[in-house]
Amino acid sequence: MSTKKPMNTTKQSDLTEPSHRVLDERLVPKALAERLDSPPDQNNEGESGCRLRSVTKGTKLYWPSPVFTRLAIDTPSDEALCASLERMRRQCGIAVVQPEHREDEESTMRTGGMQQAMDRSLDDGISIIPILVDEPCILRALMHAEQMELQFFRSRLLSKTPAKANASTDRFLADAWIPTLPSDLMQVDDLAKRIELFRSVSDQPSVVVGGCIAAGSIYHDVRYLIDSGLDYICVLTDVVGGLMPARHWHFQSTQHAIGEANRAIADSGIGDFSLLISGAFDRLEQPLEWLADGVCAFSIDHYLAQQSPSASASATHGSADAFGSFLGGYSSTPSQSYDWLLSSAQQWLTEWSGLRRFFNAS
Amino acid sequence: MSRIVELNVDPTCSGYLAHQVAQALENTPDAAGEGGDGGIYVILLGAQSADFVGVGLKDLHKVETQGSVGSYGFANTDNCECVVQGNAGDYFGHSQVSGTLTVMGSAAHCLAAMARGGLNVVLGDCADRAGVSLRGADVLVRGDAGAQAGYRMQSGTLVIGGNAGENLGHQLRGGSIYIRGEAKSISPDIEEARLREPDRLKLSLLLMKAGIKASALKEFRVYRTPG
Repeated sequence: MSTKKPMNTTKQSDLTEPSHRVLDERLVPKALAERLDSPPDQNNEGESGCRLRSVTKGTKLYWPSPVFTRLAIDTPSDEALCASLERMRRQCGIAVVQPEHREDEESTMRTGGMQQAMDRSLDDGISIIPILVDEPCILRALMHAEQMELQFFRSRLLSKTPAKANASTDRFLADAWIPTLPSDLMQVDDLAKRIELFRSVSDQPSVVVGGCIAAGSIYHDVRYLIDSGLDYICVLTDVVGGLMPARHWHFQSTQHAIGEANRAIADSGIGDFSLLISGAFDRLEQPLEWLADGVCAFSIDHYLAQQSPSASASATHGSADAFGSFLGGYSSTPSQSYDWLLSSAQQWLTEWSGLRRFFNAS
Repeated sequence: MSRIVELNVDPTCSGYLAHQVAQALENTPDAAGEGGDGGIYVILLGAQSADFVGVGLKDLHKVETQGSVGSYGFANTDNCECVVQGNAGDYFGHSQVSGTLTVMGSAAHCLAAMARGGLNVVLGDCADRAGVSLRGADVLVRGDAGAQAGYRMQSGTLVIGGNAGENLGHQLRGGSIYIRGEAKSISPDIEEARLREPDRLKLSLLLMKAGIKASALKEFRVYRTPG
């Protein structure tokens, strides 16, 4: 992917002075004279996605957009949220980490994940099947998985705060992201065998298996997971623990985390290794800088959470709840709509893609 | 009469077995329509110590391997009766959901780890950490168990017909451990409880399911978390 490297590294020694740098030294646009051989439509379209490489098989999995969301697993998701995220996956090409499977439900019935690999078009985003490492595995959910991701956290269902009348106001506390290893491992090296098990179950030739960690001891964690045979690492520096109202947890500086992860990848001696990041950004250019730093894909959860109409919604809910209790405690929970998620994501992607093409026209 | 399917296990991709079984069943006529009972009997050939044999199988009447299996044999099976005519490797029956798994020989480390339902029977001995992180299944070892049996158990039952190694029940948080012989050492995380009538009933039922004669129930002792 062209965005992994600083653009135009060969012929622009005269353009690298500070006065010519745009945004950041990592994002240097191509000189006009060098566009002579470029195809006319390259500035408009071109490949806008990314590819995750399977370290063991050498195959690559194409994402139509280098953007993913973890809202389904990082927030106490309900049916409405899952449906909105599914639309986002199909209409925007955003990869979606699916919610945690419940023991009492049949594999991925809630999201239709069993059919995902068969009916997915190339413009659809990827469904990422999560595997909570310290929970019994549900292998049938992985049988057609194109991408699976080990979540090195404890079960979300255990982390959820006690049930409330309105479940959509619920959220996860920061302890939901405490680093966790499988409690049945005899030795740390045994993790490689389990990853091999997950990989062997899927019938997809380009299946990639990744690991997701909270930004703690990033260097050592990334080294360990690379040695265990994972294909990519997702580092969470910022997470959204709830949407209504929005709840955001910050663990470490995203820039620092990218640096540490890149150092670990370089020291491990592995060449092409994918790094995903879930961080907060307040400028449209920041994700571009991350991509230029070697990040393969990033999460837009923090941006989406900021678009949450929770302020007005909470006021509405408050009065409705008071009225409900006055009438004798009947449930007054309104059905939540997450349509704003889709429109916000579409709008952001349009703007960001334009900016990306501006710098990416190499 | 059941449908009988014979499959050759490819050791290089034994994790595909569930896909192969589904494909084979599509090509096998359903005996239920011809007066059969609708059951499915799968015989696995050439599974000699291959890893991941039979993972994720579901709703099969009986599955039998002609030989030993490697690591993660029959992991996450649901509503299947599986028999291994040999020994089992590490993590046999990992994350089992329901049904019955039987090993005619011995099992290696971490037998029935994280299994949340069903019955797992080993007629020989098993190595360290049998029933590690058990989540509700019943595990029965006819012979001896290695060190740290019942490590981090959360719920379920572990029955050891012989002796146990060091640190029995280390970090146990729930469930019961029944042992007939002696343990080299017992973790302070568990304490012996009185063997009551419900315990005897449960033991006799498990032994009966495993096809073992329940003649010495009084010789068993039961361990649980203190209090």
